[in-house]
Amino acid sequence: MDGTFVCMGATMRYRRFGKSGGKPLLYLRSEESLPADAGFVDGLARDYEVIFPDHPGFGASDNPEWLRGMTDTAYCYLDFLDHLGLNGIHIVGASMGGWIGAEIAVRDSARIASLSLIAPYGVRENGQTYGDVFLWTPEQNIVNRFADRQFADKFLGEEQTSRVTTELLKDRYATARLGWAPRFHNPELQRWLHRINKPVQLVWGDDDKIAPPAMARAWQAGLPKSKLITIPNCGHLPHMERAEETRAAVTKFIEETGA
Amino acid sequence: MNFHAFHLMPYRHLDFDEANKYPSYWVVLPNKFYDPKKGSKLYQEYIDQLVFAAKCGFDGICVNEHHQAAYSMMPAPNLIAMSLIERTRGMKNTIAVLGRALPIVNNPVTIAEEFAMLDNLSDGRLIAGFVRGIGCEYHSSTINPIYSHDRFHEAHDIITRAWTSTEPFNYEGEHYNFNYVNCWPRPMQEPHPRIWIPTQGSTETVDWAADPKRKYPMIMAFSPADAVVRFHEVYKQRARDFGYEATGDQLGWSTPLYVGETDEIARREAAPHIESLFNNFFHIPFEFLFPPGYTGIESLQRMMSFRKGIGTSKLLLEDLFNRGNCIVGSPETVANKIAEVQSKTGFKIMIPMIQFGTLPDELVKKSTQLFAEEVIPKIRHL
Repeated sequence: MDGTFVCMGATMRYRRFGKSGGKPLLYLRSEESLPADAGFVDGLARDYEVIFPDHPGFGASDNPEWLRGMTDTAYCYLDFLDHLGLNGIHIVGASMGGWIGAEIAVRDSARIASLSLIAPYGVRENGQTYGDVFLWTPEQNIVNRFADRQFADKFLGEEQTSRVTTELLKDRYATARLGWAPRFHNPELQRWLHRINKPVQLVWGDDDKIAPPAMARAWQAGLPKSKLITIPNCGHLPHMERAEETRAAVTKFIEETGA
Repeated sequence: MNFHAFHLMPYRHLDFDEANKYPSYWVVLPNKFYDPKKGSKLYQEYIDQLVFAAKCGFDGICVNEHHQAAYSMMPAPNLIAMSLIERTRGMKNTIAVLGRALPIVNNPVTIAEEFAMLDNLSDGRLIAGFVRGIGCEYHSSTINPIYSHDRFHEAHDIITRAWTSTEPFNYEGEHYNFNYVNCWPRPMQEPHPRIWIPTQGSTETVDWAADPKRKYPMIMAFSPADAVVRFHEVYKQRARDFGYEATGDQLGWSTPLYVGETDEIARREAAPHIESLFNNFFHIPFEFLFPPGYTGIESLQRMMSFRKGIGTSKLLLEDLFNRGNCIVGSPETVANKIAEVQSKTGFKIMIPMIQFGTLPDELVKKSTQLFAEEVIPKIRHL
């Protein structure tokens, strides 16, 4: 079913679907408008009840007047979780969505059972820099997201339609709002990572040109008990480029938590 | 009509073959291509050219601000302005900084202070330009372009209030907060230095500049002649909507300009240099020029529909001249072209860019002198 949640005057849209009575899974999508989260999320929906929102400012959700940065996004999501009234939520977040998941959990993880963060933004390992997605051409933005050029080619045609361009621009503007500077990370999140007292798994492609795999070191410094899965020959979007492998890793981790 | 000589101070000794291997002459072009021995001589050459223009009879001389680009050697235009003030001491010409990029600074009070100093030091000859900076500036300064308009408006309010307030005040904004704003020295001009707004004609900027609270002269920069006419008309219409009639003193046009003895000589001499400006120095891919938020999504889509960026396809002098991107010709041709646009809009601020691209010193001086001696007298009365 399609749902809406109004947060301080701004409407957030989400879909809720999947296994009836399954464990709740909040899927926090990556920032780019590529239509391919679908396969991965549909896979998860076989085992879980998936809640799949568009972040405030992204996709079909409103662009709220009050949205200034990650703090606003995180508290909006905490309001949303209260509204849903669910506990034992497994968060699965990719890229920007992984960052959002961590920002939620660092503030309040009472309703959260686990976090699976796929090549998340949010922290920075000294000496590592994120790929400058804002300076890249649209084509570079697609190509540099994947390890396998053939995979990227599938999206290069679709990217040309005006519908996708409008969505892409809205997401791009929201991405800049949240992540322009400091680029794709929040030093305060990094300082307080230990506040996330639920199991965390990191999934990283070993050929990630946007969030270098070495960023995982900074996550593990703050979360020594977290688990890291590295996927070979894979770029920034393991949930697209290696959808089945990534889904299996996420499912295994969720089941291992026992929650 | 008033005449102001404008300069970008490009690094004209660039190795173009090497530089062309990079996606842009902005932001990412390594500064290893800048040779300080050549650059220090260029500063002298360029300052001399502007002083020469003032002595030839231009009413004003102008500099501007750009960062991390071979296109302009003036990340700090006030330093050049100070040199120009000293070199023209006792003269009447104005010194215009067109302009400072307000949103990319974290303390706009320093802009109020520095402009107030320049106004005092020049005995009230300063013209203060306020701009947002081009998109590249947001990549290089790392200021979030999403807040470009908001920061511009806040910084403007702080600066003008700093100039006109005679008591300390506090400022609480969304982007800037100050416990004490107390501008020492106060500016020389009353109520504050003249403010000009250079723009490529965004609707938001036209509306804002034409507002009766401000009535700031709008300088159309780097736009084809027909766009200049169109946006001057938009400004005048906005003024009428606000309930007043805009005067020609509120309308300006800045454009690369070259005068030769004949059309043929002018075109031959200017061609390689005007082409280097548009095809090399101004080579800016779309993503550099329009970071997210620099314009609204709808304006961005409008622009995407008709261009990929500036300088992304090679333009020849003939194209640039026909499109009105520059004025090149004999004194008669140049005077007629300016008069033609003037007859349509009534604008009274003409700002020739006297040097552009790789144009060498002797040609800059020759063209500048021809403009002052043979063009200005023909159209001064307009």
